[in-house]
Amino acid sequence: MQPERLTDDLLEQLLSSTSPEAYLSSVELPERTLADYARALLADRGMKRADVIRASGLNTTFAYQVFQGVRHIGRDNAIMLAFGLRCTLVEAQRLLRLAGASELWCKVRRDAIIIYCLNEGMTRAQCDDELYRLGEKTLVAPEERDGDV
Amino acid sequence: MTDAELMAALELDDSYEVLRVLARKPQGDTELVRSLQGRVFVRKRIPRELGNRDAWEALANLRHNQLPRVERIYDLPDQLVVVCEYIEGVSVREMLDRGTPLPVEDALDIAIGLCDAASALHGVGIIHRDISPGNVVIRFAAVAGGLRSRTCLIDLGVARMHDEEARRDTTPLGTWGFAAPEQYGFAQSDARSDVYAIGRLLSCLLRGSMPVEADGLELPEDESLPEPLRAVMERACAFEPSARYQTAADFAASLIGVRSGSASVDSSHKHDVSNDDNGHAWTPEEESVPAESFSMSVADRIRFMRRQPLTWRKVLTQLVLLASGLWVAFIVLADLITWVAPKDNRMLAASFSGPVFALGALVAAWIVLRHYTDNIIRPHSRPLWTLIALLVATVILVLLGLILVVAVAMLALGVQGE
Repeated sequence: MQPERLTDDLLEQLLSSTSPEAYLSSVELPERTLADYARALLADRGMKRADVIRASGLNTTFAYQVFQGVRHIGRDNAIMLAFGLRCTLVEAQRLLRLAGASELWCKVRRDAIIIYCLNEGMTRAQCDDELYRLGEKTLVAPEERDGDV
Repeated sequence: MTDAELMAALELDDSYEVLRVLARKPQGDTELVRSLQGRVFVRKRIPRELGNRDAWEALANLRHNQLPRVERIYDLPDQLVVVCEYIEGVSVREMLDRGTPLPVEDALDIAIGLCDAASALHGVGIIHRDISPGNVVIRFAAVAGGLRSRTCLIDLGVARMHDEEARRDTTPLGTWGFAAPEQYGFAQSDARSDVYAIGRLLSCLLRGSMPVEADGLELPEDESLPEPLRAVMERACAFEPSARYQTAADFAASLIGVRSGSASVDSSHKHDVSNDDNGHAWTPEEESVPAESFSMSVADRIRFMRRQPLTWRKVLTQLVLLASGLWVAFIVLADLITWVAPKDNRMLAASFSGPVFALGALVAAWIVLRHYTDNIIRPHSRPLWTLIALLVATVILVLLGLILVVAVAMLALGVQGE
């Protein structure tokens, strides 16, 4: 996967441009969906969808439909998918943007814990443990977490 | 499909590396993939509603060197996935793109090869339904003294099993210019539909170009075609399935006869008892499917003979004209009732106009909706349009029903008043 330019860099370039056309002609703005991005990450990591589904804790059929691009994904499910895809913080924020959800915000207590876990390369199950330990709502409901490793 | 089954299918699906996407069509995607063992295959992803597992399983059990070998068949929630042998060679489409007519001998070899492959499929009850230049590959192999070619029939994406009970195919599928008339939904496709497609493809090879007309026989312009071959092709491309060769093997036998210069083709075989290519006496009872089974209505036939696909604009114009004509006809009828009535009862007769008018509107609406369903909904199979059509139909029928009730009530009150 080609390294992507950061939003902050692009914003800086846009603000320093003399016109919108100048900016638009100088940058390449990819039109892609969440499914496209998820598949690109999958290929980049050499992972299989089954691995991602297991690691994310998402429902199998639901995750399949997300990869097929036929299902909208909510914020918590997008975060779970990000853990399943072993995303970095930047990649997870992109995934959330493509899902149409608000990005993780370090001024929000629960988001801050998730950011920390993503940054530390923790798994989804480890992140849920942290959320539970710190009294926050877990990504997977406690009654569904029996199978977590 | 359980979660465990889906996980297993996904593991399998992801075990193939996609090398190239060969085609993306509404009938499914075709990919060139590589297995973990490094072997290259073609993978077809067929939408669930179009995939015919029975046909693919029948093909998997068939070993024929002119058909792709099926490696694996598996299900995903919305797709039937088939991994089959990759047949490398030159497609007939590529040959036609060169724009050079093929010598008669070569064209006959390809057509006979196709008949053999189609015969093998028909033998296990599979109808290919899409024999077209893109789906015929000529495979070359080096042998002592030169190259040996073999005609292979690929892409069974829309193949189906023949169903004795079915009156027509569920979904009209095929390639324009090669699909037999019955594949447009007028009757069930069968082995004779594939015979028709092979006949059309043979005419393309002899002309060196893709079809110009949707159906019928298109011959080379130089008229150098041997007369027996012309007769064989006419029979293969007959509009009525019962007038064609009844099997691909019969067609192949006639082509072999033409090639060896000893063809005797009876294009009026429907009415006469004659000898086939094997010297076997043919009787009408031996037809695999009786002529009556091809029940195309006059309207369907006229529509097909126009050879022009229906467009939204055409259908809408037809709908407006049809509805207007019927409406006007009923208005005239209603006025006629008033006019012919005796002078004393003219007021009473006039009150009949309302119900007659409303009845006319109901009939017009019904015809319009039927036309809409036949020409727009069924061929395109779009759930959204079906829903919209149903909603519109319900609203129109409820409104017209109300008008009819009110008109009848007014009529009853009028009679009572008098």
